[in-house]
Amino acid sequence: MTAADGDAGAMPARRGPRRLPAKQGLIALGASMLVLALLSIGWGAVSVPLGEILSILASTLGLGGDSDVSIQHQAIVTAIRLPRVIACLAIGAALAVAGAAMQGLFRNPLADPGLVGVSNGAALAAVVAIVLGPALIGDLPAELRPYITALAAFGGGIVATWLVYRIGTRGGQTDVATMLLAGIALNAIGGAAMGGLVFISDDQQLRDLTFWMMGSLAGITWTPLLICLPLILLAIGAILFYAKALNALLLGEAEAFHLGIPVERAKTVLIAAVALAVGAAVAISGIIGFVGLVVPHILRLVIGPDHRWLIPGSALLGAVLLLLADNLARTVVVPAEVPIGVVTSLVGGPFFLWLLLRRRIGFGG
Amino acid sequence: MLEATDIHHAFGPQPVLAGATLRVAPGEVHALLGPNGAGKSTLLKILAGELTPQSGAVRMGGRPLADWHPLAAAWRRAVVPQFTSITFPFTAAEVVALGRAPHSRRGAEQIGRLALAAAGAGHLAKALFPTLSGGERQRVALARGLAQIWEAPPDGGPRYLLLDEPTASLDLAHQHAILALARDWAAEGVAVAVVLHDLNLAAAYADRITLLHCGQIRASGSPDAVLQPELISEVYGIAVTRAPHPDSGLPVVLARPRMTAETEPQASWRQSP
Repeated sequence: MTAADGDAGAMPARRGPRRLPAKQGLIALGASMLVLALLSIGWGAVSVPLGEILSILASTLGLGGDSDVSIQHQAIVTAIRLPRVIACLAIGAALAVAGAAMQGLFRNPLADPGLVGVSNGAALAAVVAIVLGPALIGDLPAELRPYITALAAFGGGIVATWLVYRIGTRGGQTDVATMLLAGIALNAIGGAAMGGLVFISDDQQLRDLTFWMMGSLAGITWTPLLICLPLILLAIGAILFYAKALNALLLGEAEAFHLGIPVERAKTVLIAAVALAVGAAVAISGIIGFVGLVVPHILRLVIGPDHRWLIPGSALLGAVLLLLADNLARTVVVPAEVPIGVVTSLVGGPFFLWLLLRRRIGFGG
Repeated sequence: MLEATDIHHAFGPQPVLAGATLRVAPGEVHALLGPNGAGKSTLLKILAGELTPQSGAVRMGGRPLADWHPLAAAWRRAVVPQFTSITFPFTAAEVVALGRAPHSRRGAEQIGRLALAAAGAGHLAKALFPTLSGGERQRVALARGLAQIWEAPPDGGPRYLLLDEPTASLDLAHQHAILALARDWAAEGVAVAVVLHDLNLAAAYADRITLLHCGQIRASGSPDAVLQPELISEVYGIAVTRAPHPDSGLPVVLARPRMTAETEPQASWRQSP
């Protein structure tokens, strides 16, 4: 064999993974999201037909519409179902996109806002604001409270994200074990602190705390939603803007720098955006686990890991899956309701275990 | 021209580079040689702007590295690390496409294909990167670097290709193929800096060799001038002889087998994996 044969031109081409075209996948996801959202508005203890939903939506948006809609249905749709469906879509999208961004940032597919303690940090700060807020900053007007809660959740999310990043990353490389263990520690600290707050809280506060710890969308109203929705959209937009940087960061921070990516700025914006998305989601619903882990993972298998498709795809699939989970949560034990965090954990926990087993059997890393 | 002047750097109390000065010129393959821990990789990282030296200056095309816009630097300088690990299911072609990040998307696919073929990895295009062997990954990583500086930068000027032990996990034929490729690129006016361990590969393909020892430059010049048996024996701590290659006449450095494992360098080598 001569040296020039080293380029192995005669080697047979290696087979690749089977994937679906990303663009078509995203269009299909977007369409199913819209259909599912309309159906979800109709489903429930009182069923509202699709035609009525459309005319109520049209009149809410100021596009006219029929007046033969019952006032009861009108109230159910605009005051209860619509905010709930929008909350589901926004939270599902926020958590899934935050998960995808964290996994890219940590260069590891096991990062999840819930697992590594970011959700817990956000929830803890929100709980502190609820329980200790009045004592610390005096009685606030009721209208300001949702803002304070959202702000606290965002702050808690930032602190937790930053801590996990600092602990789990050294010299641009993330140590997965350290990161997950740091998450366990943060979750333990958060759990203990929330336990302490449970101990000193009154009845009404206790109910709020249970809500934070289990994650629930029952009783969602427009006010917190309208505060958090722009924040979530802003965070998703920022992450989308850095999709190309996330791709380069998967090679490592030094390699991303060599590719002309402003690494430090990208990291700062991404950490802030993850904290904002998770904080805003937690402020609405409390802790909903595993969405950020499961959604990007499924998508990578189906359309591949390119963040320019993965991020918008995660937003859509996260929205769809959380809406499905919520429909399950509110219909499976009618008239009562299962907290949605319980549903996602029931599905996500086994998925996480399957992921670990699959990684051990397949290629490591 | 990529020049590092009087570089001093230390990790903790231990100096890694103590007054290293180096110029990597367009049209040349410049090999960095030296024993383990001599500071080769650190010097390459400093040339790449990845590490800021504690003192000393690094200039690319006459301008300090810090003055380059990251994107303008990326148009002309590609760095291929010794190891590339990706835990996500990217195909080799997608990894190479990442090398096009500083550029517009026009022609990216074709450049990616050509770069993969040039690095002898055309048949791996569709394979998942995490499933590749070490040597295959190294060739795909090289293809990514080639794709990054495939064409001359839009604002003109030479290109720089920095390779950290590109032959470390390659078989004999691929080692030579990759260094021949580096030589072809140098012939087109690219400045190539390459960290190597194999003295004879350096002798066969480098235009200039810089020999580092304990953070200092012991010799720099043509392979013939640097690969002197006395110097190599002293720097590496092992007796060597030099002979002309029977076919090409290029210098070949051969170590004399040791009879005992008493002296320090080999003892420490034995303990490391």
